[in-house]
Amino acid sequence: MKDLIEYMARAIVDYPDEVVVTEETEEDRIVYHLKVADSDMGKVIGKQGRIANAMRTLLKVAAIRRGTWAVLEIG
Amino acid sequence: MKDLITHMARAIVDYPDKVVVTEEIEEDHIVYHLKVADSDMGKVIGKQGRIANAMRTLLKVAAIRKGTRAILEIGEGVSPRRVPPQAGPQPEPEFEFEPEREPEPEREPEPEPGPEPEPEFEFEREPEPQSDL
Repeated sequence: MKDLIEYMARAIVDYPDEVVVTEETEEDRIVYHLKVADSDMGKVIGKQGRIANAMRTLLKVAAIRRGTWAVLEIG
Repeated sequence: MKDLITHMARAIVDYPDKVVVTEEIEEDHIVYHLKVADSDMGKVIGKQGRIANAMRTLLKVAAIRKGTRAILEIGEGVSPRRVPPQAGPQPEPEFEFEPEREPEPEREPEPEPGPEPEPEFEFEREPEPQSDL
């Protein structure tokens, strides 16, 4: 799932090399932290969080398929 | 961008090997066709198209970054989102298609309200089976 987030983020930012995703496994869920270049923050969040929510929607489905829960934090 | 769609779809389906994305480059936009196993169709579309729209949102941004526009179609059908880029004269349809109308079923005349006929025998209603929903 880390792949998925990296892939989605790299596709939409200006500085794909600066995309870093770290994961933190908690009891029943995984928290992903997405870091991008400062100037790309707006891109991965989007107007009214639209892009962030699109990524979260896909991440949620991917997580359910693997029988877990995933949370995406940006920044 | 094909990769992006493939990646997103593979992450959410049951049969990743059956994910096929084809692209069709048109004048000012690219149309991507996403095909998945029949049983995965619901997964890539999602409730009220939520998953499909999430993929479209990301695809749109990726396309803008590359200075183009992209359309995602899922399955065989032509999605209503597709912009019909019809340049030039349209081919004449070979024949006119007129939708056949089903004849209206004749209505039985309402029975005259009168004394209820006595039921010949009584029966007990079985309780409706409880639905799981």
